[in-house]
Amino acid sequence: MTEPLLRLRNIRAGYGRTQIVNDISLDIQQGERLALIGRNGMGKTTLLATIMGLTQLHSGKMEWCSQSILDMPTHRRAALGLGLVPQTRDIFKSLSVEENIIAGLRGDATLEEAYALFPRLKERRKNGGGQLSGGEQQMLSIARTLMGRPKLLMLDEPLEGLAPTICDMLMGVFEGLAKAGATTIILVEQHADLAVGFADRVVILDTGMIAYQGTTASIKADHTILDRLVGVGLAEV
Amino acid sequence: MSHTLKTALGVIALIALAAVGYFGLADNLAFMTQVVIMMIFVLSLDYVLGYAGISTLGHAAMFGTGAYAAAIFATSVSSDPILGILAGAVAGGAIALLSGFVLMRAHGLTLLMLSIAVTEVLHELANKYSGITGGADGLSFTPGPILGRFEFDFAGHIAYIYSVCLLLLVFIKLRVLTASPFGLAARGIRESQARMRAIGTPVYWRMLLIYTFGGAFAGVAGALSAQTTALVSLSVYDFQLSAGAVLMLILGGTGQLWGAILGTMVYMTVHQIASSVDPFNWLFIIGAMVLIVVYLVPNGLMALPALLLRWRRK
Repeated sequence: MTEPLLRLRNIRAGYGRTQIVNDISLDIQQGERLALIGRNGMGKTTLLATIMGLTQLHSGKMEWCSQSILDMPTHRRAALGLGLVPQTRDIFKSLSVEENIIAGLRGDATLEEAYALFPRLKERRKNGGGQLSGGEQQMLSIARTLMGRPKLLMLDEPLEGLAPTICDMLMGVFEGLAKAGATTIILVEQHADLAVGFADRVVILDTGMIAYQGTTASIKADHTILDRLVGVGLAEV
Repeated sequence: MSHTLKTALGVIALIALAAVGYFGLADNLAFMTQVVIMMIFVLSLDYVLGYAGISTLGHAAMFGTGAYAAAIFATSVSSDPILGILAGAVAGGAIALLSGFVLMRAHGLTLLMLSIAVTEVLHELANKYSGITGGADGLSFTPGPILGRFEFDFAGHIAYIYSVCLLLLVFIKLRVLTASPFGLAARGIRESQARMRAIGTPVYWRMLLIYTFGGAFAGVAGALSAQTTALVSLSVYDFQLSAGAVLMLILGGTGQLWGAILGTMVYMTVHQIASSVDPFNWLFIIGAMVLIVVYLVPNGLMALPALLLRWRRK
């Protein structure tokens, strides 16, 4: 087996002294699509924030392409190729759509790439970040992160509160990115059916620990896993 | 409307305003010059506080250092005013850079207190090393002619025109700076430091650079103040100078260059009138004005037209 893109070993992390992620070990391979699911408050968002260096790491090891990134500040992790689309979207409201994207531009990335992916943003480019619908905000948040050319794209509940047509469109974009092969994706999603349908592998978190991990095929074969650990069965979703 | 066109219109508007001041208040050019200098100072504060969200009550540190640098430069190196302004900018920027190494690691109340502390330390240093700074007596000097031709005159015509030219240069520079990706990053930092880090911006270093640039502009204002009055005293480090600049910025509206200009104009005009009407209680009028504006127009006077339009529609 090749060296993983990201290796987490016995990660314990949280906010201040409060520990939310408890002893998580996980390997993520280049080009993999990983679905991270679990009930609310189980540590999914905190785990992504920890990978990005935005939380207090209490103990553990974290390697990116076999290089320790434990003490690396967030901006350098981003420069290495880690990208996070946060649940809160974090659009800069005082900047226009175009300015929001420019703020994320790195290397040879261009505005036109973002507009090719999300033509709607081109139509709204002069609008303020605070004047967008939820779907447009999500497109902008994704586009801004993609302008950093992430090798690992972490999507934290990107479909939350969005209309089904927007969800389909965004899932199509994620599918396209994954098929292109250059982007490894971790998808945190409450819509378990969409997450399982998209991923190669599923990790279920429970009280900050990995309660289950396996291939999509294995989770589809045993319908009780999701029901037991997340409270939804694939039949329901 | 393109950014360049907006900047050009802004420059024209500033020249028109300056002309009104020059011809309308020809007997009071010394006051008008002070207003222009304060505009540069408040613009520099707006870049730091309004755009990047760096809270400070110690911006006088850079103003004062720029003023002393220009005066010392004039007495010991060259009396050329343009070189003196450059010396002020370098000194203001250097103090911002040095203090910024510590300040930019602090946030909120700690940052405010530290920014005041830096100014107090500089005040004490200027007092202690009176052989260089003149101490409590101040340091007087005679600036040379601008560009070797234009002598500072008693009526203050040259000082006013010179100050307006520098204001225009600072305004244009800040317009360019705030619209550049660097400027956009400053606004991003104000809104969410964590998000800026996550998209690859080294927030600490960026804030340090912003603070240094702001310090250089404040240094220009300080140097100009020294040159137009031919004197620097310890008052350049007064807390009231920093606090007054913050009030002017809040009054006009933060994060927009015109807010800094409008706020300074209104504050200093009201201050001038109020202190001439009642030399003992003028602060009451200033305080009441700021309270009313902050209560009724929280985003500053620049937001007043939009607010009036909304009221009219209701």
